[in-house]
Amino acid sequence: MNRVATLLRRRLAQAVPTLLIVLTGNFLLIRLAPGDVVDTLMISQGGGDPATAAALRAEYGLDQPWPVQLALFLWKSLRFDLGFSYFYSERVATLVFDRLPITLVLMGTAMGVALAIGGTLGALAAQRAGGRRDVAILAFGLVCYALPSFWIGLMLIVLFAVKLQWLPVGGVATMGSGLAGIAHGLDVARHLVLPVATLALFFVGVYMRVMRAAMIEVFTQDFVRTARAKGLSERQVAFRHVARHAMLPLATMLGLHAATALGGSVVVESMFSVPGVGRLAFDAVMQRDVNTLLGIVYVSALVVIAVNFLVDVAYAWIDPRIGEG
Amino acid sequence: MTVAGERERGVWRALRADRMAMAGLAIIAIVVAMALAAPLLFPLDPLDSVGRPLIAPFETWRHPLGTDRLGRDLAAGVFHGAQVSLAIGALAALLAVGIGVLAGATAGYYRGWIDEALMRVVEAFQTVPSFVLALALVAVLGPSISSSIIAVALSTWTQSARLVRAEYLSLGQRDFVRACRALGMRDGAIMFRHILPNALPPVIALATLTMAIAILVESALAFLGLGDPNRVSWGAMIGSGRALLRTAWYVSAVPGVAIALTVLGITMFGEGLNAALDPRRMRRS
Repeated sequence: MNRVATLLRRRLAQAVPTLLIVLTGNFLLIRLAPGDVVDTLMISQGGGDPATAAALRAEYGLDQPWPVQLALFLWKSLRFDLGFSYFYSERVATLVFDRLPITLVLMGTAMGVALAIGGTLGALAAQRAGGRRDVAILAFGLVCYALPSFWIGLMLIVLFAVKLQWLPVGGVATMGSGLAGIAHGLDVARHLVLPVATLALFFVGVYMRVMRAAMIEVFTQDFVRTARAKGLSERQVAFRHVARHAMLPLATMLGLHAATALGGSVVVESMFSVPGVGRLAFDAVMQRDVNTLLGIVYVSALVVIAVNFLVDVAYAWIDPRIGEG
Repeated sequence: MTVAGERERGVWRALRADRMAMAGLAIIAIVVAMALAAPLLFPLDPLDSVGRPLIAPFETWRHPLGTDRLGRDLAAGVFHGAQVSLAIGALAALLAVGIGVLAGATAGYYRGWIDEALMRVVEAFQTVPSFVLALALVAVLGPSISSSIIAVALSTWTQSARLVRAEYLSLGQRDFVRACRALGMRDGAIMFRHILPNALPPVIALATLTMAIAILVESALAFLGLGDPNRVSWGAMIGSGRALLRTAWYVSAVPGVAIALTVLGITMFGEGLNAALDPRRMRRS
């Protein structure tokens, strides 16, 4: 457990400056946006006199010099006081954290599916690099990467929801069905098939290529020759020995990809009406609700940092050399 | 210059032998030709309605790819949209790589605390989901061509910054850089006149791949209705076909094929370029 504590401390030391930069960026964006909180508030209440506006500005600290305002903003953000959304009449922190679980489920499932499919395809391709199967898999990966995910999502809707009518068009559960327990779970799963597939496709392409490259590299190492010399079959060599080593670079990329997947969930959630953080971000842009949007930026940064940390812990668990000293 | 010329010929020869890269180049050439031919073939504003609404593709010669809900010609949209996608993609990639070169060169050349500070900024940008950042920027700046370019560039510059930094870290140790210093050259001259040309080849390949990503990000923004409302774009066309999925799904399908082919072409060419410029990376990819 000591190693994990060391890792946690090291990660935190890196995360704090990163978070401060993100928050400072948020602060700059708020200053860039036309009007301030008080303007928004006054408009939402149908106008008001300048004296009230000045009093409110003093209350929010908007009459202070900007370094004081920045410090105030940082302090508030660190306490998860992310301001108030006048569009939703709700605290931003509540808005975001209420919608986070469904987004995390969507993201996690999509990444898991992509890792499994992409990893397997990459391993199959690497077994005989340059062969016909390799070329076919590479081409498939390239197509996964190049297709705009929102377009694929729409085409999946046309095929599976409109033409074949196998799957629902959107939402996360059948309205008013009164389902409970396992039936409810299955219903939700059915609703998530298309969003997960849409989000996963891009990552299938990415993981396939990374896995293939890593496998080809590992194949050249000495222990592979030893394994072959022991008389193991090619399949055993590839999947038991080489694939295991090639998995590590995949894991390193998970943190980076968590950020990409969160971005992708904006498109996917607004397309399939999934009530998650991505959908919230889209609605916030439409309403020019800058407070909510920046709250989402902050919370997503926290999620990415958390994923990175989990990857580190998993690494330390797999490889006992990491985190010592 | 003869040495450089020799190297360029070598790169071109490697590219010529790479069938994928050549196919990519052919696709790029077609899309560029479409963008250039758009005002000649379709002189009318592609946002005006020119025929009966919802004609299916291949139904009539007057509108080969059909029309949308408002009777706008889809072929005209695809051709004019090529202009917007290519221009935004190229400019955003250029801006992204420009920022990346500046930041990466400064970090890699000066090292120490400057490097540390700049890398923290890069990390912060990589921690924030780039598409959410792009949304926030468009929300603040308002939807227009220039805010799309800025949003896309700011969400894609980190990769080139990291790459350029790594190149400068290794090139900065070479003898020719020490010689430049000994001659008393200014830092700016060493960084950009002497190191940059040597660091450039992988950056050019990355710029191509960045352009492919930039086109994807821009089309996603436009799809959500955050592009320039006064210009036709592929993403916006797909978005406008969304409400018609049950009856006229081709309205969304047609521009999507255009995006997919363009991104595919640029990616294929970019990867070929990457391999040709750096033979060591050939077997990976």
